[in-house]
Amino acid sequence: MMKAKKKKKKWTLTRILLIAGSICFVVLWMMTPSESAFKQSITWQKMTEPGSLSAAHQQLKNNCAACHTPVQGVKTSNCIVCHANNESLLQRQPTAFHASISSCVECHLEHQGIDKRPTKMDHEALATIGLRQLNSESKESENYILREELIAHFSDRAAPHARITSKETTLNCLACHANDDRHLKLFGQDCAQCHATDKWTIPEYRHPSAASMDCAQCHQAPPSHYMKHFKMISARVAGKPHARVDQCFQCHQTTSWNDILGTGWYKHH
Amino acid sequence: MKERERAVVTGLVVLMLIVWLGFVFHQSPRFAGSFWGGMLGLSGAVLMLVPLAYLIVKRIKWLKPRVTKYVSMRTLLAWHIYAGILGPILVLLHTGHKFNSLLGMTLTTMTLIVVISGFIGRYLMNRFSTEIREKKSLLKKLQFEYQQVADQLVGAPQVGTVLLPFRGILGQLTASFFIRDFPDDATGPVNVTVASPYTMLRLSESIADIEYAIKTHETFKKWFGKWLKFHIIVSVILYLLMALHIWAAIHFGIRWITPFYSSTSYYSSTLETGTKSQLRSFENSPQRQNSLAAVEKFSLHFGKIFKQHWRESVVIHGIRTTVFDYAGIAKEIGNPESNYSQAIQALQQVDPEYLGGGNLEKAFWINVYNFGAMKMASEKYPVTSITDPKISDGNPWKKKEIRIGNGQYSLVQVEKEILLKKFDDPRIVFAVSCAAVSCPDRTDEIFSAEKIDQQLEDIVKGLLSNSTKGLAIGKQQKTIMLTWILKADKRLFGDGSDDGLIDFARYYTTDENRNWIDANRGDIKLEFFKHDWGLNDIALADKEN
Repeated sequence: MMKAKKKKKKWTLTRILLIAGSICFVVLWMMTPSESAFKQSITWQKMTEPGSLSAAHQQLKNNCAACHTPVQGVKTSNCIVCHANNESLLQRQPTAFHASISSCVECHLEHQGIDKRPTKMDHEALATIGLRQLNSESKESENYILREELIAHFSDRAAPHARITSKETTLNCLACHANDDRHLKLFGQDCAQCHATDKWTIPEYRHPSAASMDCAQCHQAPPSHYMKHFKMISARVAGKPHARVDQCFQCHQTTSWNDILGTGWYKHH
Repeated sequence: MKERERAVVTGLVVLMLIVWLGFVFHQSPRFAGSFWGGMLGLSGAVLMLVPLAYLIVKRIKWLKPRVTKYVSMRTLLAWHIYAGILGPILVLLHTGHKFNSLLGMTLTTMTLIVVISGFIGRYLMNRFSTEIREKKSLLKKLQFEYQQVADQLVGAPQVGTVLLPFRGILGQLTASFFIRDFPDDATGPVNVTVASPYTMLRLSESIADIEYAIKTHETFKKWFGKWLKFHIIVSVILYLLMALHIWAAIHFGIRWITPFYSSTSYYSSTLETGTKSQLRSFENSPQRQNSLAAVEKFSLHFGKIFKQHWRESVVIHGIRTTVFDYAGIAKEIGNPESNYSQAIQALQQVDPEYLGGGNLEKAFWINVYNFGAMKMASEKYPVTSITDPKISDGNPWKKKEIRIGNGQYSLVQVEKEILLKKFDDPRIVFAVSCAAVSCPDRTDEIFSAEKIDQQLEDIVKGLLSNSTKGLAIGKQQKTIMLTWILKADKRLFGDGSDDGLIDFARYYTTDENRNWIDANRGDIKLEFFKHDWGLNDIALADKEN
């Protein structure tokens, strides 16, 4: 009997405390001026911010709605408001694809920190966007058929190597990287046969032995080597007056092109 | 049963802590917002709501008897425990170890605290109580023995004198070092029931130890005694934060849900394989097979009509044009065996939904248009133009004269709503011909899927090399006179400006014309032929031919 009474009393105390607490909160809320941080929605919205915006977007840091739309998230139209007419970007061949991409957030991730550039190229996303753009309601349209063919192509065939996905191989590398070809088109135009999309270097690649004499198969001499300059200066300085232009190994060493055998570091120009 | 539950739940709590601590080694900031991350979060949140059932049933008096009729409190508690630990594990996986925002971090902390406080309450508190109970019964036994020994010693006061020198505090603490029990008989087992100062001392020491242990345990128990209240309050805070978190996700956008709304997000790869299998079932469907066969039949018969009644170019109204023998075509009408009737019949077997796009459909619709125009002229033959009042009251293009499948189509529908909409190819407007003198010349072949590209090139080239209706150059006045077709569908060519039209014409015309255009490009004046709607009928050929 005593115990029950005591318990009841205890609960009443809790209730009083709860009610008093809520009243205090309401009073406090009413007393604070409306311009205080306590009453700004941004103060509360900031609690969910996963990281600072990049330096360039700092002016938007207190305006979540500038980019975010409820449910739909960051819509492309909100990016285009400011980023529509970047002429230098649209005119450069490697970046011209921005004109028709109409999808931003796949590669431009924000809230990574003030010192981070909000750009991370994602070729897989690019391929996805491309396929999506070809999609259409009408199953008879040429785009739709092309899309089906591409999908059939990349899902039926294995990727040329493990560092690239078969979806990425639906992209046409040259559309952006035409000027990046160091092989003077000698290896064809299908970069993806050897290269991956994250970096140009190929981990499996092993340079032939330093004792190899077939340098000229891959390396081309500078233009001056095909002029009088070669016989008159280069060959003479190296002490190999009879060396041919395609016999790189006669004068050059693998440490550096300028490390000339028997002569030492030599840079004419 | 309970032992097993404890082992399983302990394992799960340890697993949860390991999952949480994974953030030291791994972070996947994009995972939480991805489809599978979202699914984990959702199912975790739903599981985390299950424990509420126990709380509610336990505390609402009228509900309890009604629910326990079906589900015992024990079962509800089991649900409470298992859902209360599995939910947080899923939710921690959902985080992808991204603990960046204040809300996110607080939410994670609260989840961990709620689970751990529940675990302590259920299993460790229990331990304290049992241990205190065990210790208390031991204490009772010892106290009883002590009383016995004390009684015996009262009966033999001379034995007790050994203790007399140790009455001070220091003496009490060191007594056990000096007092030896029966020193002459040390080999025998010590019998505690035999009264001796030594036993007395040992018993009192044990009692003190156990009393101390009980006290410590009780302090702990008191300390943890408030755990239930703590557990409930923290849970309520957790639910509030969870609601805020879900609100934030909706307010700032759910990445994996957007594909269903807009084109800015990923389609999942399953959708793509889905369309592939759809394509396969489309290809194999009977409608597709029937339509393909019907298209082939139509092409065969229309091709025959075309070849049979096509004639080399003549001059009509001063315009050089290839022609047809419309009188000959008109004779076929009414004969069910004729190519004409069979072509019409074949068209009724085609289901336009199953043409499948591409060159096949493109060629089909162009042929349909040309057949339709030919049909309108032949049915009312003799006429001198497709605009003849016998055919229509002024607008033959809008007359729904062609039956395909179950639908009636007009020429304008075929051209504007199907061909130009589906196939972005300006050459189409040259290929669809309304049986007029000013329309492009034809060879004796209809369009076919295999050759359509070359055929379209040829037809445009043919017209823009024909100086009587396609492209005529006035060298003196520096004018180019172009076909009215280019003017009528201006917007299809280049940017729709005069320059766009000249570019188009320049590309398709003869070398000679092209050179002249290039040489005079700056000051060319553009003019257009008047379109002659006269029927391209061999019977109308100018007499001097």
